[in-house]
Amino acid sequence: MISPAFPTSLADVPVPYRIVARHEETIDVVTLRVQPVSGSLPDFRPAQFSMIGVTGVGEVPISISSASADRIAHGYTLRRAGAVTNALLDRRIGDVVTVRGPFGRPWNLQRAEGRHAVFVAGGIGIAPLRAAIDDLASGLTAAPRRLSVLVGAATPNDHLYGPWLADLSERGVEVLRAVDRTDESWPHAVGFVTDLIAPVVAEWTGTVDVAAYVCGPDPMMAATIEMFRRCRVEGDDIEVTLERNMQCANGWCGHCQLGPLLLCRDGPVATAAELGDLLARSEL
Amino acid sequence: MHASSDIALRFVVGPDGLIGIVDELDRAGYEVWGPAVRDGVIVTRRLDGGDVLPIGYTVDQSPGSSRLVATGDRSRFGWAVGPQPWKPLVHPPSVTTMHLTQTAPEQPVTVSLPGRPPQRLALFGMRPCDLAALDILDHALLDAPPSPEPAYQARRDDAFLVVVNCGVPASTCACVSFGTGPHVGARLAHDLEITELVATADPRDEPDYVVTAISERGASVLARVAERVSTVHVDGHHVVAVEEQQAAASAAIERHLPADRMHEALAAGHDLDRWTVVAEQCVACGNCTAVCPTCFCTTINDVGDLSGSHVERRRDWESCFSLEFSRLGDGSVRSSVAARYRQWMSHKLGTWHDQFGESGCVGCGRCTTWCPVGIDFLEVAQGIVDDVEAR
Repeated sequence: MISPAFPTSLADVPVPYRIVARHEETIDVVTLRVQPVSGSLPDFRPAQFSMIGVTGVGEVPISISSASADRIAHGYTLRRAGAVTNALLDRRIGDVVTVRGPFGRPWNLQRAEGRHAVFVAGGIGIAPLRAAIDDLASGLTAAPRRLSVLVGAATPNDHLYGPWLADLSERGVEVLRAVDRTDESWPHAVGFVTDLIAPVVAEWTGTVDVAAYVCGPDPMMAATIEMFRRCRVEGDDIEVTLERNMQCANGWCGHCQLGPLLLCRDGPVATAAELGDLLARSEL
Repeated sequence: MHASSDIALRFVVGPDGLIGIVDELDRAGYEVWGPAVRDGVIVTRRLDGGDVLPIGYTVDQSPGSSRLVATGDRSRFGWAVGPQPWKPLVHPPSVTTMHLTQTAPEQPVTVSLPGRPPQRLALFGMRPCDLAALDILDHALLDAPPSPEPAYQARRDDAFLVVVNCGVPASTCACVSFGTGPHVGARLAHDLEITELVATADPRDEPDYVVTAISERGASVLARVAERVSTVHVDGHHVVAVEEQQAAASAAIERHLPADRMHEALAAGHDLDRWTVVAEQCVACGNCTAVCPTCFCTTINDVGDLSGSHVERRRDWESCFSLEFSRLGDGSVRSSVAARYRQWMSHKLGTWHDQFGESGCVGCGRCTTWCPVGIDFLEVAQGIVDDVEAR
């Protein structure tokens, strides 16, 4: 299928994957489950992403949201945002898309061993956290002494993965949800997801010993880091996953710069210590 | 890489020696590229023989201006740099990286990769700053990424490098501040080093060319050339003349930048008003990034046929001055021209240190000469340092 002769990097060559399942999460968010047309499913670590594409349209970077123990297919949760995501989400079960990856620096989940692991997600930011939460909830990578999942979304209809979150609750994981706006039927909190942090973190008597994992829009992550800082959680104890315009995913194209960081190479995960004030700098 | 001490082959040759080097490289299977004059500028072109080198020119450069001037002498290298760095040869503006075929959505995608470039490159007449730029590109595209960039690697591998020392810097040059010129030394790996010594008694006489072999293969090329053209052994007079040229060229470079303070100043100067002031001039055309010998950014373009089933995937040069460059789902991160100018300068002189452990600028001055509105890169950079240090 691939003719040799030209020196190439395998990381640059797309691999055909077939869509084996498709789940509508919200009005504009869909999870695709895909399998390689031939060969085996590659290993990945939570927060790693792939370049997933449609021939003739292009590729987009999407993190793998399925559990790392899932050896059947990889899940990619996408929001309709442009030509490529539209083309991907218009594909049907049985269709073939292309995947390059996985790429990038994953979460450091060993950091959560014996500590209070707190996951904070804004909107579709829950997707890169899902595999990590699954890993820790099943004690796969590390065994935190307590696991909290704080999820924010614009409205109740924008919450992803409802059945999965309910299942986590059943299994003893603390799951708290917030929405920016809603009506009286919403049984959970109204407000920013950052408002959920202090009660959860401060509730633990004794030393604050938190390993935090955060994903969401830039302003939400900046606000989350600040809220954690007020709760005496900072530096290397907070990891975020960052998004810029990744194209080659090999550190060659320069698109995914965030100041000193080349995110496909140095990220997408970075600690709050590494990030410093980068998120606060406008148009960086 | 340091030259091994046993390579001491060094001759003085005339213009036929230059022709001999080009011929010898051609015979050895290299695709030889060197300087030529076209449309009033020094460009890079395939050399069929050393006799096509432009004779008797210099280039007057200043912000937004480049003028080719006849000198009346027989010099071949009486100019500093032309607009076109060597970058397009090793990192072409557009590379087809693969072809993708998918005849229907449910059919598998097949990938075919293009063949290797047929010939090895020989770059004849690089300047010391150009060599330094190539070294920087090596780090950015081969050493720092998780895996080397294959299209660059295919062209860069085995490239034969002939560096000509700079005797006539332009007013836009600042290599001394960056330690990249005007003479090369043996710090960076290359094959032959040439210094042109223009006849001082009568400029209509042909110059002497002091040619030094830096690498083993450079020595074997030079040895074969020496069998066919008349050579003179380098004597004290030549050594002094080369040293004098280096000292004079260094002294002629009037522009300096506190290069070692730029990284810190740019990190601290994100919110300076100066960015907005520069943006009032900047037209975001991207000329500076195109002529920059180290700007390496690319974008992936899939070009399909009408059926959409056959796609040529290209890796094309891209500029951080384009709005598309920082596009995310909801828009561009760097939507203002000020932010894009700041990105260009901050990367070149600042965050390049974080990403690759060195400066991304070699002080060649091309960005300033070829800016259509004459923005002086070094002047802006100095302004940033001054603004930050005055706070």
